[in-house]
Amino acid sequence: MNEREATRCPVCTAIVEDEHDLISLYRQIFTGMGMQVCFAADNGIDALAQFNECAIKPRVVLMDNRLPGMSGIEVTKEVLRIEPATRVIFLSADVSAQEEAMNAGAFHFLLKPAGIGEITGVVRKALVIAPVTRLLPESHVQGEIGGL
Amino acid sequence: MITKKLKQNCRETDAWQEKIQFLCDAMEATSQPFVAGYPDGRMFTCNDAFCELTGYDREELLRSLSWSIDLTPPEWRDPEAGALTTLHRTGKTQRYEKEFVRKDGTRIPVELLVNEAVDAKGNLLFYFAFVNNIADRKRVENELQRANRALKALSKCKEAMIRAEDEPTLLNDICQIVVNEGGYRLAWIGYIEEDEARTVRPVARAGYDEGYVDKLKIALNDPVRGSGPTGISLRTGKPYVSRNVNEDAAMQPWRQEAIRRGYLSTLNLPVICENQILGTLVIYSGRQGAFEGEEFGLLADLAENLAYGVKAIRDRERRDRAEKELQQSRDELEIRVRERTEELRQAKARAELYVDLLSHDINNLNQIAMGYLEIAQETLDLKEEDRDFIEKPYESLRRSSVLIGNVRKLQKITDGDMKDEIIELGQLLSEIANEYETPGMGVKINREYTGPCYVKANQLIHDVFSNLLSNAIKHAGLDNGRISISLEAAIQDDRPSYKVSVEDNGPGIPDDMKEKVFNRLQRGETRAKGMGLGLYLVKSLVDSYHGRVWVEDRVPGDYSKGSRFIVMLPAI
Repeated sequence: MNEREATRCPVCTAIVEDEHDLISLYRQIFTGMGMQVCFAADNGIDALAQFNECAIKPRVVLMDNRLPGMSGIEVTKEVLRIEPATRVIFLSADVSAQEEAMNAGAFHFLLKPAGIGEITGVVRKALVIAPVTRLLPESHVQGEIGGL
Repeated sequence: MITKKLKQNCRETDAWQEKIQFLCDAMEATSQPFVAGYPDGRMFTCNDAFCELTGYDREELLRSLSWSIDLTPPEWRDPEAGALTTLHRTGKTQRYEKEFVRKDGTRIPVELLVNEAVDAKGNLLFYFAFVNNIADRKRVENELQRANRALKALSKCKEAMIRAEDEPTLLNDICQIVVNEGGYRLAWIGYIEEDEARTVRPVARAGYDEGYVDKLKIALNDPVRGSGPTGISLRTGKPYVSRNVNEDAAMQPWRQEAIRRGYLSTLNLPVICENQILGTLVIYSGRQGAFEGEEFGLLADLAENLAYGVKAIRDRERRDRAEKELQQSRDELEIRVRERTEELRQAKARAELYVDLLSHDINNLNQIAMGYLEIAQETLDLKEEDRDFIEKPYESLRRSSVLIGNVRKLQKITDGDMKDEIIELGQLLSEIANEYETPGMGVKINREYTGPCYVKANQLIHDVFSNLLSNAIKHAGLDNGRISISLEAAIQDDRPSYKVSVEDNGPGIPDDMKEKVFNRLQRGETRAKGMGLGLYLVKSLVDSYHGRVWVEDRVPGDYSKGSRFIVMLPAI
């Protein structure tokens, strides 16, 4: 996604998950919420590379923890260093990682399996609480959420 | 003094020979042996007592024998000549000991009081001597000397026992001491073998042996070589003395060899330890008639001491061996414990890894399945009767994830990984009740005790009450379900506690199932429907908090009116 495309995207999201079926599922969830997925990565290194490439940084990242290359926690630290406004929502079956993920700056930690309602609820919460990004006015965001 | 006066008188008169004769006559009448002789050895007078002492008659003595040659053994001649020279030089009476050779060839120890007779010019005329038979005194002296040597040997043996490091050293030391200190020709120690012949095996020796001990070949069951002094002593458990090897019939098989080596007497002492005869200490003397009186007693004491010393060493060795074995078994046990601990650590790590991988991957897969089922439920236009096709698998997947969660929690309890903290039960129950608040079903909390209810537990205490509450909701049903939670102060095992009751109006639990619902199902057991690991987790957690959990009928005696789960936790 380039900058022009990104600016057209009212709420930009990303998915970092090594299970491709889950990537598809999360895409459907985001799509259902009316959000664009600016990238999906199935490993930590690719996730960081894509995050760096994004001119408009995703506002929400759904993050798994156990990933090839880099852990979700490591990716989170790097992502937040690059763009502190990004909300990283962990969706992991790795219950032992919860404390460390939160310490790394995660917005929320959802334990798999989480219901779709739970996921969408946390995403909404993240967007409501999220500071206004440089490119997207708050009113626009609210409008999008309300439309879900 | 009398003699000197006589001599002076003799010098003063020409009749000194008559005076001497008078003196001789006087001496004749005494029981004290008396003799007078010339320096060349001839004797010119003696009394009856002297004749009796030497065994010769007077005529033999005065006519044909020399006091310095015939009556004096060769080894006494020089000392005697020295004493007489001194006498002549100093003029002082000489007292010395020597031996006389009697007519029968035997020797008799004597003490002489010798003086000389000189002429007016001081020329030696003859010697005259009063003789004391000191045989009895000498015998007593020799006995005393032997007893002293035996005592010294005994004393040295005690020292040897104190410093002995091991049994062979002690035995050899004892033999050496008996020979060196006791002055005996040979000493050896033999132990009785447990073989058929009951061989007496020499284990230590010292002294003049020349192969003698090895030729003994004593065996208690041998009719000939088992019947000698050693055999007799070992069989009877008493000392056996052979004071004359030449004549003792028991010595017959060994006599020739013994005599050849100068063993004239032997003493066989049994070495007895705790009423068991271990062996024998055999001592050989070069003197006939040895081992008498105190000497015998002291050597018998020495054998007793030897037995004590052997016992002490054996006890010490047994103790050392036992300690060594104990230490060895401790070391082995420690190694085994370390190995087992390492195995357990590895097994635990493997189990943790498997549970982790399994729970992670299954939950991941469940996430996929449940997510798609939810989307299917939302997007597919299903008839009411077809909704089960989605809902049933969804519920199964959800329960499988709960089950996995419970397994992980049980693992944490077992591992003791959870940290205890102070928890206020009232607040906890309120939070859980809010979580389970269901439209149409009120969860009522009754608090009979309104103060803070602190207990010591870890974060998993939440699971205790959420499990009980979710079970109550599930079994009471959503339509007419009535759930109530009560919290009160109570006493449990004489300790202040808090009692939490979770009550429902569900179908209840029959009496025969009331304990089983908390059990972990073993392989092969019939599964109680819907139990999962929830109540087992509840019991495991409550046990870990040193509390108790049980279930009773909400209406006593009628289980079908619902259940009351009671959790009792110690107050802090």
